[in-house]
Amino acid sequence: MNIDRYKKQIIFYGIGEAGQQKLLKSRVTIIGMGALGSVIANGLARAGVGYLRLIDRDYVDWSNLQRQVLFTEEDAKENLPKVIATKNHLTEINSEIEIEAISSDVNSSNIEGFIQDVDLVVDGTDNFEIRGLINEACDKHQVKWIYGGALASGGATMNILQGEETPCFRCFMDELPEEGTYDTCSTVGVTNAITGIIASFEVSEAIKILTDSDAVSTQYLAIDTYDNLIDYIDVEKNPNCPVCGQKQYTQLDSPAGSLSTSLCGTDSWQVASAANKKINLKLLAARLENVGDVNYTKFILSFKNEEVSFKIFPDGRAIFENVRDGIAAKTAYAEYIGL
Amino acid sequence: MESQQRQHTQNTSDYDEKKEEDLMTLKIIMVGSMKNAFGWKPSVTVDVDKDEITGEDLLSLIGLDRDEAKMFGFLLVNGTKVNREAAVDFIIKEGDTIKAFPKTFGG
Repeated sequence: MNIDRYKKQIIFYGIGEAGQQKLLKSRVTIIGMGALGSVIANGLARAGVGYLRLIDRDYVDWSNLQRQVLFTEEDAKENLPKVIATKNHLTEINSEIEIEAISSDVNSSNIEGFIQDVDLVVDGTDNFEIRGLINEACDKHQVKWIYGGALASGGATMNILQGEETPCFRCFMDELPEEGTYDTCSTVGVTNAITGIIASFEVSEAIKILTDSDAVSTQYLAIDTYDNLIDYIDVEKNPNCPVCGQKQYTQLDSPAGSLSTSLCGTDSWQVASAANKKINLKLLAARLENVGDVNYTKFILSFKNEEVSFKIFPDGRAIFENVRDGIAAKTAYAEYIGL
Repeated sequence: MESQQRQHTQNTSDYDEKKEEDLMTLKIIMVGSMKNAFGWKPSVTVDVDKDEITGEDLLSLIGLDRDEAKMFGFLLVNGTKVNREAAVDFIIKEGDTIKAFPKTFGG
């Protein structure tokens, strides 16, 4: 191992040689490999975090290139799964760390397996539901995690430290909103400045947590780059919090089932099944080639005809483009793939 | 006083009989995507015909009712976080620094 690559951060008083050794031995799961996740993964890989588990359900799209800093036009042309593209690029950046890439939906049936054997979970996701699930799983297994969110020109981040006096995500996000009732990057957009800034704060806090720093933030940080606002806000632990107070894991204990979810930043809907479904893309391509245009690799199959277009992964997840809603997506899944 | 930003007035039937100094003027800074509820303006200014108001009444006054404004996260009043529940009893007065934050989910 060439430790010289880290010498500029070893010189930094907050890390030093001891801190660098801690980073090299650390294990981190990053959930979401979009605008936040790509910056987080880049930062932690370059800092020498010894093991990174990257999880995302999506593939690289042309519209990602504005803010998802690790992806290239070639990745978009090939429609590579985001975690595969990320691993490819990170391996060229730091070949001395271990990177596990998992192209998968994260749901109640699999999240505990993704988080219980790591030191830290870092949030790169793009919806409220998954963050609630991360919060419950991490509370159950007492794994620290870092929340981060960004939309339009604003963003926020906070460390969830699993302390007796420190709040969890539900302590400050006191009400779960219904899907469709809040803005997304499809409706109001997002700048690469705010995603980069929030993700960089997540990287900084991750390094502090992993090196046992005394400077770990305990506050909620909110930033608006367009109107030049920065606020550090004290958040109290809610003694009646359903998660960290009452240990009610409603999302974690719910069966995942078959569900459709919209994908932030696109007009697409994902259909996924909780069952361990393995799709033979070659056989599926043979079945579909008579009813439309099909292309496939070992990672993904693309299909298009006059009625529908979709991409499907070997684990059975499919992303339908330009469909009316989640119900239409599930209907098309049943028709072309089988539910 | 930012007269060009006044948007709401309470008890308009009594307005003409009240003196200018009887009105409390509050400015609420909108952070991030919270601005989307107000035409992307950076702040909202309201006149209130009393010398104090609860957080919940203020939110209703500017159109962030509990049942409709699902994107609303919390207020920050003079550096103190005030969520929806706490806003029921939290008192706001003229001169308070008020910011409204959204729930931020994107990434």
